[in-house]
Amino acid sequence: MQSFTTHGGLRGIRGLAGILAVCLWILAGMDDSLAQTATSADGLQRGAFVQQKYLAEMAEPLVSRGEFLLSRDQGLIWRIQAPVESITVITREALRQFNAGQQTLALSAGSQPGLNMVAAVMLGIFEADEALLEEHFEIRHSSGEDDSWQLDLRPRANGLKQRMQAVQIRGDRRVREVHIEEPAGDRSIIRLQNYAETPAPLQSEELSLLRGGRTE
Amino acid sequence: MRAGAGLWLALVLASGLGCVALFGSGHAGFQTNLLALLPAESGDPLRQRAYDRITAQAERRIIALIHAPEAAERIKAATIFRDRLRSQAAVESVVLGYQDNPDEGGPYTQLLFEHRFGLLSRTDRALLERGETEPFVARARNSLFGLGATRSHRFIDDPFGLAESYARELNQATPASGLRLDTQGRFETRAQSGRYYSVVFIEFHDSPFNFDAQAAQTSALDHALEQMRAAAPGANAILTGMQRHAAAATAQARREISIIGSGSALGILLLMFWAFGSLRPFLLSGMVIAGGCLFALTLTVALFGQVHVLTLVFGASIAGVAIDYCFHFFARRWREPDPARALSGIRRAISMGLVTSMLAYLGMALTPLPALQQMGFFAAMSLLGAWTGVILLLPALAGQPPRQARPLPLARRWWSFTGRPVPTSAGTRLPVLLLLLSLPAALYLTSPRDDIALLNSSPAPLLQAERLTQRLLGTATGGRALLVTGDSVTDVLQREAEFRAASPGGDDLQAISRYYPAPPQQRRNHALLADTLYAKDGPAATLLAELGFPDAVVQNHLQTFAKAETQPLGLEQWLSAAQARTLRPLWLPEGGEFPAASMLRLPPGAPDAATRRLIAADTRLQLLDQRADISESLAQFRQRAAWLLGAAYLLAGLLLWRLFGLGGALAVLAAPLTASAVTALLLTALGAVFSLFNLMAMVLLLGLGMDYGIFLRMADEDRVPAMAAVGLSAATTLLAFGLLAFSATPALQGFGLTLALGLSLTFLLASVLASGGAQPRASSA
Repeated sequence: MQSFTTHGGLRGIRGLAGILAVCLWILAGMDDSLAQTATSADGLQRGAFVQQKYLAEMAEPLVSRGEFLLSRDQGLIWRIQAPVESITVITREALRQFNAGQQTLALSAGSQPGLNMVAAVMLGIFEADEALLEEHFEIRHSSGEDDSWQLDLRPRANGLKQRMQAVQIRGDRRVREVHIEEPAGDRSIIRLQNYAETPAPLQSEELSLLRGGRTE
Repeated sequence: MRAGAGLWLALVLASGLGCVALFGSGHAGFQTNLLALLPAESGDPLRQRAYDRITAQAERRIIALIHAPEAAERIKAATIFRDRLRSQAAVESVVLGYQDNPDEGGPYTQLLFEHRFGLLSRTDRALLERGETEPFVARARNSLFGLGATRSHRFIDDPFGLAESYARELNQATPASGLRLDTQGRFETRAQSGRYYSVVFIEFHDSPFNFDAQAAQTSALDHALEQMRAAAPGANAILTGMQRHAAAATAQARREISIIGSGSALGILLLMFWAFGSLRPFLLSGMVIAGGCLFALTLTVALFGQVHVLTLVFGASIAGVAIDYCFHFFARRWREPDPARALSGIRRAISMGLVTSMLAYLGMALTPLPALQQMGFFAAMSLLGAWTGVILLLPALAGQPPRQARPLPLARRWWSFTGRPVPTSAGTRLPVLLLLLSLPAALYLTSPRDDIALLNSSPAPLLQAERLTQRLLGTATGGRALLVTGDSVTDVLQREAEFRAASPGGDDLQAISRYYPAPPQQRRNHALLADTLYAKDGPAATLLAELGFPDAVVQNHLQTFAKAETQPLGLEQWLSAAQARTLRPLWLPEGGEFPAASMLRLPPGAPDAATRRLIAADTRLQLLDQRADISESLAQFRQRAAWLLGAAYLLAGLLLWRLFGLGGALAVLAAPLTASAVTALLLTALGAVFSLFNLMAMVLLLGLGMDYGIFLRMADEDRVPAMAAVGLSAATTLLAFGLLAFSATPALQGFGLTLALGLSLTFLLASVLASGGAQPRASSA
């Protein structure tokens, strides 16, 4: 239970970044009982993902792979490399999709009632940000062996219930696996892997995407 | 004599019981909505129906803009404000965000989903009409392989996401164009200064024109605001809505009644005590007038059912004229201490005053305007009731004759001032000359105003708040909309769509046709899909096979699509969907005498020339502008009231002619008529507004002026007591109604000012004309 409080504490002193954050991170890491999701000092995570989508009509799941970039302050870039090439950018303000360099979807949270929730929820899930998720879900937290933990989420609002029936997040120092069950029975399992130990800073193209620009 | 008092008491009791019975049975009631005064027949019933729809929705709603220096504090304040209001019984709903909507149903309802092949979004239709299917295929792939693509239905039921795309467009039908959502789905709006406001929509159960409901609503809002400020001291709230205006008007009326009302009551009390040296005349006069009002109220309620409060106010003002009768009685007693003889000395004069006034006011009751009917009837009946009181009650309870006669010396001096120095011929010629000059000038120069703003005396901060809210949210108030009629749903929506296409900025207007495709369009949409995405071996079939769906599943989906062709979604059903909530009030279903009709919300401000031309060119389009329509009604009301006033003068003139001859009749009527004309000129010169309410004051002037003329004319050789009575009457009337000139409500202020100026002039002229006039022929008749 304590683990996320510490994490929340880290979030709270965003303004003091630098030394203080590093110190806290080290302190938290020293205590084995605290399952700390690890991010770099500027809140950046890079890694790869594999998504399996299970549909009732198909025996085999549909699998997609790619890379992701998660910036605590700026949002998420989800770059699918196979079987299609597409980019999804989720920020607190908007959700946009690009296929072959073309923007195919642009939704602004200011006008789409469902979207703000989905965007907040997606960012919350990949950050395992319990405080943010609390607003939208009933949360059951369980700690496992070592520093592993699991969150079981049930949506509170009707609008969200129509999109997600249940969400499960598993992780240790990092978020490792996300299960999403849709109301009609389709479900996805997303595995996050190959986290970069020292993630490269944001590239100009990535910054531009997160700030509402286009892909290059 | 005692018997008279008993009879009067019995009459008053009977009236009181009748009144209680009528109100108790629920057949009677008070109307307080000012708009109910106006003739309903001004527009056609369809327009009225549209206004009723707009008003019923608007009058129960309040919009709150909440601001605080820090975003967190602002949100906290808005949340507390919402939560506190939600627990109040007067409140039907409080909405701070999408989650608060009682019928919020998520991304799309089952109903809309079932009709996904007919309800295409405009974006999708445009793409398909251009033959572009690639974006749809990309969309399908994204929803399988991409992130955040979660939905309430299976992928296979709508692989191209048609339903979601449609729902997204429909979601843009927000209650106000300037409204946005924060990341938590709460309403907010941003001013140009960069300042953010949280927006809370409140709906009450009842109309604020119901006094009890209004009080409960005000206390609910006050309570919530107090709690909000306690929790978030930096926050402030800007509230707008009909309830605020109604509450402000109530508070103002209460304040004015307590200040102006008690001021004038005290003034009258002191004046009468000074004049008669006892409280008895004051109390008796009060009883006589109150009895008259009660009598009139009972009859009015029995005849009309609903009585408007304003009718009551004006009617009761006119009943105040009856105080003249009392003064004549008391003044007479200075000379004739015996009550019975005093009464018989004035009976003829006051009866004549009664008959002429009743005739004049009953003439008003013959108009087709319900408010004037009520007012005229009430006034006539209250005079009759008061006259009965004077005849029955006063002699019985008159008590000792008044010891003092302080007004007499004054009256004598006034009399010698107005009567003696003027040569007899000039005494009549001067006022007649004045009349001949002022009346045409007044009729020519007075430019009346009939703006609804006259009914509205809302405080400036409230109006300012209203403008801010309108500017920020882009909502139009004042009931401005476009009414579209047609033979059928399809016809109406077709007209709507054509108008939106032709009008500048019309595409952005909130309208049903923007979001709902009529059944023929739904069939065309299905056909378009059948030609493109769902063509034989088209993108649907190939994509699904390529993704690896079993053939049976693919065939099943294609059949579902084919079967959907025959069942378009009807408008009524579509309107029942949660997403269409904000558009529901715009539809007026066909029924009875009414054709199918819809309303289009127009942006604030007057429509541009191009839009006006479009509306003028098609009889099925009508501009709804409640404000302008009400002003128009007020103008009609005023014009008719002016004619009626003319007719009342004529009727009274005929009667007076019979009594006093032509010269006498002219002399009696010249006083109020000239005074009215000169007052109108003075008001114009002062730059004051001339409206219906000034005219109503002139109606009162007619009654008063006639009484003065008749009493002075019918007094015998010593006219001084009559002069004193008339002077006292003028002074009390000035105290009672002239003080309204200090009211902050433009209507009452106009009424008071006109009365104050007009009555002073009437008094002066009546004095001069009575002295110059011949002895009444009536004394020998």
